[in-house]
Amino acid sequence: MSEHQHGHKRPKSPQQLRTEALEALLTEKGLIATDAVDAVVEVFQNDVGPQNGARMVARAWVDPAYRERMLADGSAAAAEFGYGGYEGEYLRVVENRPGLHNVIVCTLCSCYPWPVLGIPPVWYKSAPYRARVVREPRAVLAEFGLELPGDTQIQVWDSSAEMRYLVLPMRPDHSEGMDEEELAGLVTRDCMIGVAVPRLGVTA
Amino acid sequence: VDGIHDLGGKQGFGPIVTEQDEPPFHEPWEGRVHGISLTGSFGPGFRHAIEQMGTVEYLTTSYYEHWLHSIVARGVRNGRFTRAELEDWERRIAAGEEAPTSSDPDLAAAVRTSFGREAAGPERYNAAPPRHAAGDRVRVIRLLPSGHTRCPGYLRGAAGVVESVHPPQPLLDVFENENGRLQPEAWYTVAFAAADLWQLDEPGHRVLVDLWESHLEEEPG
Repeated sequence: MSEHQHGHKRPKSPQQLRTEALEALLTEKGLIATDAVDAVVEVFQNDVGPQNGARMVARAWVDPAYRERMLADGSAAAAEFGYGGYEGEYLRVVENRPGLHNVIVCTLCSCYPWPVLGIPPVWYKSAPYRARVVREPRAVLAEFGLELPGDTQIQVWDSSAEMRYLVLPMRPDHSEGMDEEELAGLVTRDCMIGVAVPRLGVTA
Repeated sequence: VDGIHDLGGKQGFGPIVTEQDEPPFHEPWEGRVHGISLTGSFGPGFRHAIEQMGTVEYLTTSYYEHWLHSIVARGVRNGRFTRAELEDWERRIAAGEEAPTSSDPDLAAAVRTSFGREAAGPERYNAAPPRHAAGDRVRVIRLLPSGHTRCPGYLRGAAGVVESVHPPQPLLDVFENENGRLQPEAWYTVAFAAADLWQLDEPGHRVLVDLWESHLEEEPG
């Protein structure tokens, strides 16, 4: 079908129409610049995402001094890689250990450490996750395929104020021969939210 | 607002639906909404506006529909534009009119470095010294503010232990409810035993929540 035939294009969804109208109106009034909006989209599509957090985690696994700095001040540890800014001003890294597992949520909204994890997945923003993970984390983690030993303590971090959280998972067994870059490849977004743990053969 | 957005601990939701290889934005309009929200100025109350959506509407619309709702609600309330102007542009776009573009190279460049090395750290505020210290037992207030609050409802009246103390930041309840007024105060990470919040028997399950001083009172004894 030709693009030039009027009336045969897929109609715009109400959300798309409203957004395009809003952007046109704000542009006409000089309240936004469309190239600045373009820049936000590009940053989140290209520069900011879980690959950033994964590099920090892999560094912590191979460099004990970095791990200590990361646990003491997550924002400063992120800044060492050049990551920072909005929604990352206060970053706290919480460490999984044998017998202790951490998972993050924002029950009131969908707060998330953008500079190191990017845009949260839809499930993180969804009502079922926000409602359930504080109350029944073990059942929620099992739905994600993560069965924790019965005596493992679970800490759920609800980011209701200025702090944003990142989980430092445990380095998987049998990864001794891997270098930092290969290790970063094992660190998925879900591992840093805390609904998964890194496994050999599962890559980001 | 004692609204449906305050989801922690609520029951009756089904399984969590996940998606493989999810993109940052599912539709181009979602990215535009994110960019408009971050680079435009529509006045304080981003979240309060979302919290004032109807319960059914909130639960049946997406994250970026919530954002779009907030931008329009605040833009209209604060006199940036009118609903009639927005609807007029909807008709023009639907009729095939091209949307205008504009350029602010300095702002676009600032956006590109806003998550990088030059990103600004948190602003520092002065406030009274913190009333609580790590290890203190505290109790969450029972009467939550009726407007926006960062105190989740599931903590109402619950006892917990201060895990850490953070330097003062403006209480966002006041910021959103009082048109951007700054009331800096200490805030805390407070640890709660889940068994103190809900009828559960999972030893070692803790919930750690960040709360401002106004959300806490000292636990006597």
